[in-house]
Amino acid sequence: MIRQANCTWLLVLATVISGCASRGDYANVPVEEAGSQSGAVYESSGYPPRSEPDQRYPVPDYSEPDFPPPPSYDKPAQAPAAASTNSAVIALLSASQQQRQQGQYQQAAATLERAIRISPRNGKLYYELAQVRYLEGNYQQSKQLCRKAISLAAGDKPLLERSRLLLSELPD
Amino acid sequence: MASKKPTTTTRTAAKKKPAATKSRKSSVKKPKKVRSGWKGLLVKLALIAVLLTTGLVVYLDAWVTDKFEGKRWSLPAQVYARPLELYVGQSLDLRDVQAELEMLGYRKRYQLSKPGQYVESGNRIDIYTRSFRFWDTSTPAQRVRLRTQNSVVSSLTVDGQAVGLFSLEPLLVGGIYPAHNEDRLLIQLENVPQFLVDALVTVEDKNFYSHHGVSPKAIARAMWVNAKAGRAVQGGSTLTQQLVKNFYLSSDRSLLRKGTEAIMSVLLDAHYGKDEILEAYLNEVYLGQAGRRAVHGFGLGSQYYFGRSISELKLHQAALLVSLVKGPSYYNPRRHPERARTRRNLVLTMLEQDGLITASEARAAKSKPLDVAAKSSYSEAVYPAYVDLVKRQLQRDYRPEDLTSEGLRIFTSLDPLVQRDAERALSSTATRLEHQRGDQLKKMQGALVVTSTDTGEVLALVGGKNSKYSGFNRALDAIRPVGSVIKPAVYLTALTQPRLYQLTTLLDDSPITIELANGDLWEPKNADKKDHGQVPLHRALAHSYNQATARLGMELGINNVLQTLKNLGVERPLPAYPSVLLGAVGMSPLEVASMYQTLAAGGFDTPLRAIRAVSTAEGEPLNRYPLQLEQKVDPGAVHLLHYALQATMREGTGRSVYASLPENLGIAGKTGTTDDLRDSWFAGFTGDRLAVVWLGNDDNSPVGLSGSSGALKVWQSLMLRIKPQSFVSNVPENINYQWVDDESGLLSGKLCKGARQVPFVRGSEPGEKSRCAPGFERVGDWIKSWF
Repeated sequence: MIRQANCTWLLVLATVISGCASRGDYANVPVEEAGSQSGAVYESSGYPPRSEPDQRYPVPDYSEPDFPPPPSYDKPAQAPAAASTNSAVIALLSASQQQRQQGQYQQAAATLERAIRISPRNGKLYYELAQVRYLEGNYQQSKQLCRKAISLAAGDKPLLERSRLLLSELPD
Repeated sequence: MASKKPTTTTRTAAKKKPAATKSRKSSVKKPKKVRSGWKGLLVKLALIAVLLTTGLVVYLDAWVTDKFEGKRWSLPAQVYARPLELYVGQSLDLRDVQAELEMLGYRKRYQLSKPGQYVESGNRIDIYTRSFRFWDTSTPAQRVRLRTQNSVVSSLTVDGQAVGLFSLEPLLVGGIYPAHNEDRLLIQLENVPQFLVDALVTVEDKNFYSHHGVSPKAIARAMWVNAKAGRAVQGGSTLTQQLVKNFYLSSDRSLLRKGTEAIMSVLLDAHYGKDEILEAYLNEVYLGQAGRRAVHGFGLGSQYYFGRSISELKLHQAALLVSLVKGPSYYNPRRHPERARTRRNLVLTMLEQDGLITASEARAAKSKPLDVAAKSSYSEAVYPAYVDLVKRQLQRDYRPEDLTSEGLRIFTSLDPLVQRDAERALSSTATRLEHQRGDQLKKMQGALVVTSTDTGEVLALVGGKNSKYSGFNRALDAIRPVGSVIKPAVYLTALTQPRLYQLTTLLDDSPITIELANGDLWEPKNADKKDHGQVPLHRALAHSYNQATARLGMELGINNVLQTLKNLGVERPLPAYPSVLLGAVGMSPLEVASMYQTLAAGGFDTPLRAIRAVSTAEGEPLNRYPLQLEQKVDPGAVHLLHYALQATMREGTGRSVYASLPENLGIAGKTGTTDDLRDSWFAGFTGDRLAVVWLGNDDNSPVGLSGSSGALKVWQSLMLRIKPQSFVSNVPENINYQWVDDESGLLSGKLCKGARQVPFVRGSEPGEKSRCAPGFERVGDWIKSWF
């Protein structure tokens, strides 16, 4: 398992890993890309300065029961699933893939868990972990991880399809 | 040394055998010699004496080598916090990094010159890290540069190279000690600064490198000095003898023991090199008392007194540590700074006299303050509640003696920064409440559990108002009635039957009377003593209506609700009484956290984990505790529940939380209050953090706080400090959002008055359409205010 990853290496990997990178330049990546496009910023919920008066409760309209609640708690505008494709996660993801290919399943799993800690709502990471568990012969966990990936996939069709495919191959 | 072990045992065995044969021989000879009269008797006695002495020497020799080459000390398991991860794109307050570095004992400098230092300048921090061996990998000492922009890490380099992420070394947060509470951090001689060794030898045993274990010259001198003074003022013990005394023997001062000590010292010296003996001495020596823990060895001593590793010690600090050998409590620098200072300067003078340091070095060191860390960074049980949880989780896999003797390294998920914030949130809120409500809150107690929402890792645990006190761990052991905190299980049971129950289903909140098995009547009342008639399901939960909930629960069947609780991870067997529906059942804060964890993680049950991995003292991995999931509840139903739990925070009993937390922070949670305001609960989660708070009195008397006036305030204070991410519930595929009329629950339109957008499990949407009254203007205005 790696504790640090070279950025130039990341640059290359970032473009290689499917679905992860839409831009090439990872040298000055902002926190999240996918999330900020949609407006549903998951990775960084901004903490506006406390002095803004409209941050104070009560918001008058709010207590009226016949008014809809704000969109942020209502229908989530966009799934945050792919929000956390930051460089650290990409680095860990690719490191885990290497470890997996070399048959180092324990290390691969540990690397993925490290990535999950950074980006716990990234369905792709759970799918990757499901693959590792599958190779280890831990079908039970593999299945559960596939389900977790599916529950987080929201709109990520390739991820949804791959997770379903793996799930269908797992014995009951 | 460990590699020598097999040969040792054979050698010991080989030596023991001749001894046995010799004594057998002597017993055979005995009868013949008796006839030779007095002379013969004397010869015989002398022979016996020689043989006995030989036997003793052989025996002592075996003892000396056996213990010295075996595992010399039982080492307590060391418990580490999580390493702080740094990565580009991370939301990070540099003050937190600085706080972490301070806890790790890093020194703030203007320039980096060696490991264990950092330089802080505006939005940049430079760190010269120490090397560290994780359970799976090692990192060398490196120069790390971290830059942030608007509290987000914008660049990270290690030794000048840009990297994606980097882990700092983890904080050592405690140990698991054996009964005698002897603690040490083993060091190797090569890591000990030369001036420390010089000082020790100069002060304690000048002829250490030339004598053979005992020093007749030193003994003679000591006797002379003592005779002159008429009392024992000077000891003639060599370092070797001191080691033998502490390492092998008890502390009784009999002459016999002195003799044994001398023989063993000579033997030790004969078998082992000076460096080996010195290293053992450095690790054995007693240097002070940290509460119930005995601080042994210079490695731990250095941490205990200076908060830094031995290789980082300066001359004046090394001299102080050496001073302590003579009397750790008499020269305790924290309690008797003047004595310690005088003794330290004497040590420095001796070094100078022996030409081991220059006069100017001695002068400079003498002018330095004692430099003892004000609060020991390695003080006893700073995190007693958390280490308690770690111990309990370890006991499933390890024997107690392994935990206290093998020097295992336990890597946990404790986040010291979150822990700090959790402790402060509890104590500051308690103080504020006491200030507002008076002295009746003085004896109020509390507990807090903070976990990572999706992974189930326990990040912080507070077991009481005085978190440094390792007493009753309320987070694990206070089994208290949970009140309305249990209600989500009732509503989830309903929502998993989408054909029968939707968020918009109207529930009857009129008074209810239930006849119990024993003939008693159960008549739960709403907290506001009012009836609310027909209320939508989501609002009945958000406002925590007891009458509606009891009726719903009875309709669903108590056993079905209990099954839901089980699915959510509540392992405790619960009685099938109607009052369970309103939380008349005891659980610990950790159990409540485990229940909410499953809700927060979208219906996936994850055992709450404190431990990530365990390795041997040498760094060999032993156990990993990986992420384990099990889907227990349909994610669609959980999504609907998330809606109602967010409504609780936006419109219901939890809404006061937004008085200080930002409006755009998504929160889901539930308050809980028990009869006569005895228990105040709040359980809630954001995008990345889940926290459960309990407040109450240990004697179960009323504390006078509801869930929202007590526990929620602590939760709010915690979240203000840790700045969590917003909770956004994932929309599973079987979920469809519809605009419905809030009063009737019928389909409506986006621009209709009284319409709200509500999720439904596909196929369960209401069929009828309500009359749409235009409310365009107001809705439009309202939306504008949000964007």
